[in-house]
Amino acid sequence: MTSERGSDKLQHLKKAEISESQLDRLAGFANEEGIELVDWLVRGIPAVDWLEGSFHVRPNAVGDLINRLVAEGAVRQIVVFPYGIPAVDLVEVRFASGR
Amino acid sequence: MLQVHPLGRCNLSCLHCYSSSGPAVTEELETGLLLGAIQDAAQEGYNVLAVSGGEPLLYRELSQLIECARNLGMTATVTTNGTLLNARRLKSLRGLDLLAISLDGTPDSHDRMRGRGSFLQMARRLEQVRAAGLPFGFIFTLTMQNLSELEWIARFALDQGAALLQVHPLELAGRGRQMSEHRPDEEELQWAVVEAARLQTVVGPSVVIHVDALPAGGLRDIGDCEYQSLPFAFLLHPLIIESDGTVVPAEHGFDRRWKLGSLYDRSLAVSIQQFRAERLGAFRKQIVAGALTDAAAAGVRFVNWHEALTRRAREVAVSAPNA
Repeated sequence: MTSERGSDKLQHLKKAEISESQLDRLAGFANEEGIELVDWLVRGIPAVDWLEGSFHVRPNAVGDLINRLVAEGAVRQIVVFPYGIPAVDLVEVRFASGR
Repeated sequence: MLQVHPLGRCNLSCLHCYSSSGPAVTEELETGLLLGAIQDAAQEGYNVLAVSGGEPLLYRELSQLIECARNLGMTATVTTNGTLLNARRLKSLRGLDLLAISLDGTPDSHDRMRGRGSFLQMARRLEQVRAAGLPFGFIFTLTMQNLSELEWIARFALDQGAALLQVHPLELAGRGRQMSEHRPDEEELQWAVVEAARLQTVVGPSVVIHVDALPAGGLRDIGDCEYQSLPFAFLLHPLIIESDGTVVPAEHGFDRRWKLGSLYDRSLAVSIQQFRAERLGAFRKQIVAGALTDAAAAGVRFVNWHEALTRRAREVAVSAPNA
């Protein structure tokens, strides 16, 4: 008999839309100064199918953050919402990835 | 649960048989002994009688065992390879709560394990089972290699009108001892739980899919209970009566150092009484506590609990052979 695990033949169990390393990198943005992670929602067990989150970031760091989110191929939607009247002093960057 | 093996004879010689049953095995228990044991077990709180074998349909007095259990208010089940089911035998199963039919994978896989043609022989009988109105389910022996076949089995169970699909990890006992590389490890067991949950949503509620694995969180209750005051059935289950009359806990083939006794020497009631008075404490300390420690160390979410007890008993026997 073959020694391959039965579970290895079940691709739907192991295939993920978002890899663990991608999850680590996206969550890791919050360790940087000026970026605060305010929301994080993961769907899919055990393989992650979908992720949604929000960062709060200073206005002058928004562009860099968006570039980095785009560089993560798994991110499909980015929404930017400025806070502060009359001057914007905080930007919320919402992102979603996966199906 | 009281699990009874009234005979060792079987018309098949399955590769993985934990009781090493086959056509040449002649061990058979007297009906009177078994009826007494069932009554004693019911007194001690056992509320399920599971009859296995060998092939239980070859036991002439099978209907008496079922009737005895039902009269005592027990749930009665029979586990069969299904190849010998016919109208006469189905009549003798009247009153049975569940007929569990072994199914080890797709037809090819099933035949590899049980013998060429055994799948067809079993499948041909299912129409009669349905016509008899007998609730039935399938038992699938999970190995390291066959989880990918569970979906086929679940859909087959649904198509055939089964009420239950039980996923039981391979036991390394009897002929199963030769199959250690096929034993599903803890990781494969976790995947089985996940896959079973997924397939439950596929087949819907008419087929209950159950994996014989205990959530690790539930183990706390086993260790923490005030066992001295609990009915014996809560403390030691299943209780197994093997085809030579030996009574053991947890699994067929359990280390004989922990046998409760033999039906040929004394009644089950006396065996239970003596075990409770003289050995239950040591069993909980050496075997149950040890198995709990092993499970905690493994850090898994689901445990093959009866295998854990069996393994612990073997380890204790190796490390203290004269204990």
